[in-house]
Amino acid sequence: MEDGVTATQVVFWILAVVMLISAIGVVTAGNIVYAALFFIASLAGVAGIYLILTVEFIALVQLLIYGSAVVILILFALMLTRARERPQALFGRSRPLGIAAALGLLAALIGGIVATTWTTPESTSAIEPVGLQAIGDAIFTLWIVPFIIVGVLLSIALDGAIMLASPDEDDN
Amino acid sequence: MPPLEHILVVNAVLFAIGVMGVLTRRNAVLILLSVELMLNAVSLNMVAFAVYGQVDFGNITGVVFAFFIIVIAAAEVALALGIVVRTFRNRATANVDEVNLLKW
Amino acid sequence: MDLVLSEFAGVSMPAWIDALLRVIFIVALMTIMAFALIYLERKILARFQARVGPTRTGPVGTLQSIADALKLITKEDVRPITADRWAFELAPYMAFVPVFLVFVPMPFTETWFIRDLNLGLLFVFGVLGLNIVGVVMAAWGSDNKYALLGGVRAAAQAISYEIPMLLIIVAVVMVAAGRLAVDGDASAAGSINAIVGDQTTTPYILLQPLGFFIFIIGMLAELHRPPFDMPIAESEVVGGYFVEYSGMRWGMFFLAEYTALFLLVVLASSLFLGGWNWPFGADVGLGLQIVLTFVKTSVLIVLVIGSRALFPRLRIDQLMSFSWKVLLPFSIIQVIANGIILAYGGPDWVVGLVSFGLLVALGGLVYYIMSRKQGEGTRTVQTTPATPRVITAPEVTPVEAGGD
Repeated sequence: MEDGVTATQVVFWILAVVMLISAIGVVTAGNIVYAALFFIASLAGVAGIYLILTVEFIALVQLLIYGSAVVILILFALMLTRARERPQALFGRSRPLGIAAALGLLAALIGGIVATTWTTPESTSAIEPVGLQAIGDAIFTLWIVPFIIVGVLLSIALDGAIMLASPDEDDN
Repeated sequence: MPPLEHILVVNAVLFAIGVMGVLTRRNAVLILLSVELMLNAVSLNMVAFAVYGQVDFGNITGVVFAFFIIVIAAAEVALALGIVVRTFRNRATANVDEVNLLKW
Repeated sequence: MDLVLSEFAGVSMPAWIDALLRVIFIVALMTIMAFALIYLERKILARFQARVGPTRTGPVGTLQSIADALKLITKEDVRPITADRWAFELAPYMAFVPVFLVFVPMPFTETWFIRDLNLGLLFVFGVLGLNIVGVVMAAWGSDNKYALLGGVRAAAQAISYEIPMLLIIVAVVMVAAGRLAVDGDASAAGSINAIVGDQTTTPYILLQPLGFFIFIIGMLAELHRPPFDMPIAESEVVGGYFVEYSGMRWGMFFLAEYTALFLLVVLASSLFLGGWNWPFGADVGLGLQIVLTFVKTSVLIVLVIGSRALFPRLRIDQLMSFSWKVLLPFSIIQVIANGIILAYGGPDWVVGLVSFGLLVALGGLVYYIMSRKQGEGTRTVQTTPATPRVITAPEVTPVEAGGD
C-alpha cells in the first residue's frame, strides 16, 4: 500500500473488473453459448492477472489449456446437447436462495481476508518474479510424484471420456 | 504489484460468482463452467500466496499447485462433458434437475 | 532494446510512439505478406495445373491481390437474418487478433523482432490456439449447417494436430537446451531467437528430422491446407465456417489464414532450417540475414502452396487416426528418446540418427497402412444401416421438419 498507486495496479484493476464482469456474464447470460464466450473473456482476465503476478508460464499454460482446449470441449458439448434448438429456463427455482448463499459466502470470505494479518514483504516492489527455472525445479524435484500421478490421471480421464462419449455397441 | 489483500478480495468475488452459478443454473454444462470459475479463483489465490510469500517462506509451491489445478481441470472437463453428452443421449436433457431417477 | 523502427530513424522516441510504430509495422507487414502470398498461390497453382494464372491486372498480374482487396472492401457486408448477431460479428476479430499477436516473438533477423520472449515458443502456441475460438464462433453464429460442420471439423483438427506439434517442439527445446547448456544458459531454450542463434553450424533439421516432418504436417493441418482441408472443403461443406461471410469480414478470415501461414513458415524455418543464422553465421550483417530468412521462408511457402495441387483430400476419420494413432506416439517416442540420449550425454549425431531412424519407421508404417487392402480394418465407418433410435424420455418433442 505504501508504494502508492502504480501503473501495474491500474492494469490489475482493469483486468479484475473485466474478469468479474465476464464472470457475472457466465452465471447470468440468457444464452448458453454467450455464457461460454463470457467464460473465455473471464479466463483471459485470469491469464492477465497471472502475468501481473509475474508467472508467465502459468499464464500461457492457462491460455493453451483453458483458452483453446477446454473452451472447445465446452462448445462441442453445447452443440451436442442442442443448446440452440431447445430454448428453456436456464435457472432453477432456488435462484434467490442461491444468490443469497453466494452473497453470504462472499461476505464471510471478505470478512476473513480483512480480519487476517497477512505475512507479506514490507514493500511489494521487493517481490522477485518467479522464473521458469524455479517452477521447473519445483515440479521435477519436490513434486515429481504428484506430477507422475497427474499424468496417469490424465490418461485415465482420457480413456474414461472416450468410453463415456462413444456409442454403445448395442445402442444403434 | 497490487497488495495481497486486493488480489484476495477479487478472487473471493470470483469464487462467490462461481458458487452463485453452481447454485442457480440448471444446465449441467453451465454448472461446469461455474465450477471452472471457482477453480480459477482458487488457483489465482495459490499463485498470489506463492508470489507474495516466496521471500518469507522460501518456496513457490503455490505456483505448482496452480499448474496441477489447470491439469486436473482439463481432465475433469473431459470426463464431465462425457457424462453430460451420455446423459443427453439417454434422457434428451442436459438439465441436472431433470436427471432425477437412480435407474433408467 | 530490440528496436525495429528506431534503428532506421536513428532517434530515441517515447515508449508509446515506439509501440504504435511497431503495431503499424506489424499491420503493414501482415497485409503486404498476405497480398504477396495470395498472388503467389494463384501463380504457383496455375503452373501446377498448366495454366498461367492472373495476367491482366498490372504487370504479370501482380496487382490482382489489390484488386481483390478493393472488391472485398467495397462489397456489401451481409449478415443472415437468423445469424446470432454478436457471435457472427465478433468472430472475424477473434480469429484475427491472436494471429496478429504471434508476430511478437518472431525473429526475422538477429535483432529484428518485436520482443524476444523467454517463453516465445509457448507464447506462439498458446496464443495461436485462441484463433480456433473465432472459428467456432463463426460456425455457430452463422446458423448454417455447413458452417457448423466446417467449424466443428476445424476445431477437432486443430486440437488433434496441436498436440503432436507441441510435443515435437518440446523435443526441439530439449535438444536446444542441451546444446545451449554448453555455453552456460540452458534456460534460454524457450526463446525462438536463442534457438536460431544456436544453429550457426548445424540446422536442427539434421538433429530432429522427425520433428521437421511432424511440424510441417501439423502446420498444414492447422492452416487447413490440403491434404487436411476438410473444414473448408467446397465439395463437402461448401466452404466451411465462413460460408455466410462476405466483404471485409470474410477478408479478415482470409488475412488471418495467410498471416498464420507466413508466421508458421517463419517459425519452421527458425526452428529447423537455421533461420537467419545457418549457414553464414551471425556476423554477416542484417542485409544478408533478412535474405536468408526470406529464401528459407519462400522455399517452405512454395512447398505448402504446392501441397494444394499435389495431394488429394483425406477423410475425416483418416485425419483423426493419423494424428492420434501415428503422429502422437511417434512424437512421444521422440521426446523420450531425446531425454534418454541427452541425460546420458550422447553426442549430437546420435540424436540426429535416432530421430532419422524414427522418421524412417514412420514412413514405413504409413506405407504399410496405405498399401493394405481395403477391408482389413482400414474402414472404421460403420456401413450397416442403423436402426432408428428410440428415445423413451418423456419430454422429447419431435423436431419440426424444414425449420431451417
